[in-house]
Amino acid sequence: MNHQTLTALLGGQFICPVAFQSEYDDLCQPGVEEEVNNWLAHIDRRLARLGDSGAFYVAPLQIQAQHIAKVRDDMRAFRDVYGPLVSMLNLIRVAKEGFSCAPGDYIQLAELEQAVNESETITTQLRSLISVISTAATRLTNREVLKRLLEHLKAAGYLKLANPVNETYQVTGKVDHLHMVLEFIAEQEPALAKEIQDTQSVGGADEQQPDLLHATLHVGSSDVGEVLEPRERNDG
Amino acid sequence: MAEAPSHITRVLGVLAANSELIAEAMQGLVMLGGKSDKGIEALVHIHALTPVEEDTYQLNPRLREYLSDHLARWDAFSRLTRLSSDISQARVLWRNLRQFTREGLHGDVERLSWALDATITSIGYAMERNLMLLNSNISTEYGNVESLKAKIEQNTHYASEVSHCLREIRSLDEATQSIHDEALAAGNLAIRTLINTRIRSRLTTWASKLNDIQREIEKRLFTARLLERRLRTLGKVALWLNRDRLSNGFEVEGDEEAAAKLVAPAEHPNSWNIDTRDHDAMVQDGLVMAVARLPERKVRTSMSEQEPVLQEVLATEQEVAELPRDPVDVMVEELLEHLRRNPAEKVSLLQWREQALANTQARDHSLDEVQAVCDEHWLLYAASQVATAGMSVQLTVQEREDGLHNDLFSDILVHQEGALR
Repeated sequence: MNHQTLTALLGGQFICPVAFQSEYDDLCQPGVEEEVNNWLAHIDRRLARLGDSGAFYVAPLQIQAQHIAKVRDDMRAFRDVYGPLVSMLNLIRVAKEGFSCAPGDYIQLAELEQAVNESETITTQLRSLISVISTAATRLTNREVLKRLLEHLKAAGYLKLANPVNETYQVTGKVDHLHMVLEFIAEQEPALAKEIQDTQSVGGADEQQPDLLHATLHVGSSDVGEVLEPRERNDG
Repeated sequence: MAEAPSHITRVLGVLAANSELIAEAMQGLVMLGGKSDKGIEALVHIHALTPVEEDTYQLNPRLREYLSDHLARWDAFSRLTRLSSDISQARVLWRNLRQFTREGLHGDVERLSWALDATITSIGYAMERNLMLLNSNISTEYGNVESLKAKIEQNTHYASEVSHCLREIRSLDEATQSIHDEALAAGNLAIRTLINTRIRSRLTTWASKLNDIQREIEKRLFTARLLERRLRTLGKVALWLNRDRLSNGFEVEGDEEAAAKLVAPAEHPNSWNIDTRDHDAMVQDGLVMAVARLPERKVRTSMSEQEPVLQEVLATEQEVAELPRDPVDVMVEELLEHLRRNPAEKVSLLQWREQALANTQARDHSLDEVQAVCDEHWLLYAASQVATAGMSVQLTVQEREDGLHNDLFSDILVHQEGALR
């Protein structure tokens, strides 16, 4: 492990291939993850990861009452803590076709500007966010407000400036943590959970898909007969 | 019936001569009434263009398919080429070929052999084309559509197509196995070799690749559904923020499991100090640079003598607190004073105490303290004080009784040292 990896981790960063390429590669080396984990254990920390292939970050070794209280307080003040970020990412989702809000996604300022200028609704939505975007003001143009919006997300660690020439940003792995918070909220808050379930039941074809996570995966072999074992699937 | 080579050459010549028109037809329809009328007529004559409406033509679908395969450009939701018709064709050709061979119809046998060869080749080409199409779509992440929903739908579509293709490969395996066995039994080694080299040797590879593609599609489908759910949740929470403006947040039951997932990493305090005893060149240079940034020290150029400051001492009178003296000590002091005035006199300590008590008219608290002291304590204390002051002390010892080893004294006489010689 190198000192830059440890410094970034101790700085509270989310180590992902987008924001911290070399540090992420370092952590993916065999044995390094365990070495860092052992090192962090001395200061009551552990190395955590968002999912199986997500960003690395430092978490408490043992959850104590203060951590539970912090999460509860953050949920109580959700509008102030996470509200601006959710609103900004939602605006990008609406404005940019094909935006999946996943790590690695690209966002080009010019593309956003075009979408905003072509839609009065999106313009209104953007203008309503001026109060929560850092250094934004009503006198600024749409492009300038969008620029400040992207810089706000960059300062919060959710975006990285991938190409300064054409002002293209890339979504970092930290966004997975925000998704986890939103999923937790959606599960806990009855009104939100019901709305999501209602939306899912509208598309009937979705319910016929098998549980892909637990679908048996067939591994190819040299005998064609074994390879061609029938799989249960709905072709409708 | 084999086409004459000159005819084929003529057809290809027409295609080459009108290549730009064919490229234009790949993008859409072509219409008469322009400079390309002669070219359109020539292509219509060889069926490279087919009529759609009056004076409007489109590219022959087979030609379009060939060019799309070559350019690896497929429309969204393109179907995989079905093998079932070619498999049936192969069965029919083989059945008739076997019959004609038995009947000795060599000319027809040769034609059917060619037809079977073409059918087998067509099956092989179809499979390769299917694999190319699937790999192209997966590698470009269904780049022929933009929205996530369309990508998910295509993923689902091709998951179904791959399943169907795998079933067709099973059917192909059975058919070719049957033809292979019958050809072996009939002694038709040419057909057997054809089946083995063109189809059977590649079946396992095709099936393996299709399974890999199927796994990849399933993984992407799961990921895509996860992304779709996440986007939906993001939208709903944003809607809640917009709609329910009176609420600041959520009251949720936080437990250890939730906190373990949701607690964000905090910056760990991390600072360092310079070790001034470190002789490393980099540290030393850093220290020198830091010192160089300090403001200059002010140097005093001249020193002037300062006049001594006269210190004024103010004397004050303080009341001296007189500590109350022990009445026993007062009595001893008076005794010593008496002995000094009367050096020749021997004074009994017991008599002196009694006399002092008798002469005192006021019975205050101190006299009570003196009376509280017993004779033994008075004799020992007064004798030690008087002896310390340089007086001579003489014990009045009683005659020792039999059996006793200690001398008892009843009184102590004191007088000034050397005064009674």
